[in-house]
Amino acid sequence: MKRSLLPFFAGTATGLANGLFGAGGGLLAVFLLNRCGIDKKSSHATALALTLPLSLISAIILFCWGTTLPLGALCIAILCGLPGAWLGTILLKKISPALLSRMFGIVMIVSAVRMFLR
Amino acid sequence: MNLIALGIAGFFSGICASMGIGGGFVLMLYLTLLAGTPQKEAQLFNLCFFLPIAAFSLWRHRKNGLLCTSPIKPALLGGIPAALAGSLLAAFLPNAQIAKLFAIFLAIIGIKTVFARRESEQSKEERVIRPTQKQ
Repeated sequence: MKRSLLPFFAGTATGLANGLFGAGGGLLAVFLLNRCGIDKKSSHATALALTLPLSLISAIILFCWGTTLPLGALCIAILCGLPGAWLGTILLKKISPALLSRMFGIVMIVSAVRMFLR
Repeated sequence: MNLIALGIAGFFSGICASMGIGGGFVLMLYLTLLAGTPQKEAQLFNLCFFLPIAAFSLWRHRKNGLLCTSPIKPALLGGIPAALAGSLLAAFLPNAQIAKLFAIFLAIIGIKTVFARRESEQSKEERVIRPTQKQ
């Protein structure tokens, strides 16, 4: 496959997953960007540049479809999330996310099973 | 919704989202499995939560020189129509079905992540592969 086509397909898969599930698009993007030949750390950072506009589109569609959004709770989550994000950007600069994401993989499998059996 | 638990979930989601190791999924799991939020509401909440977090993290990553801009344009070219299609599909599908599909998706990504090759192994292999491809 042509090297330039790979990001196109990476974006398509990410958009589809992010739109359908409202989550996890970033995980897929990291994996696929890495396959495009971008190094691990940059894949993690660049995935965000991809999922930000895609998430905005998906959020607008779900909102227009009449999905309820508790604004107060959202503000609390964001206020607590921002210091977390700040910490995360420092961590990504300093350490390799490989071990962390491997640990996360196990959490993902366990939650997938729980979610499926619910 | 328990506000303290939500705050803690938000904090950890923020860390994971900014590192690109699945922040969305952390908050999503809290919302659906622990707080009992319906799937689509959790999706919208999660997406809206992600917007400011991602914008902030992107600004920081750019400052740290971790951002790689070349694949963004072609990726968005494919991604934007796909995002429209995906979210319209989500709007039509019942909550339970999306949750089941998400569980399958999560399991696949989880297995891929756990058994991912190490960077050193990967580059070693590529060094072996490249010369043969050129011939």
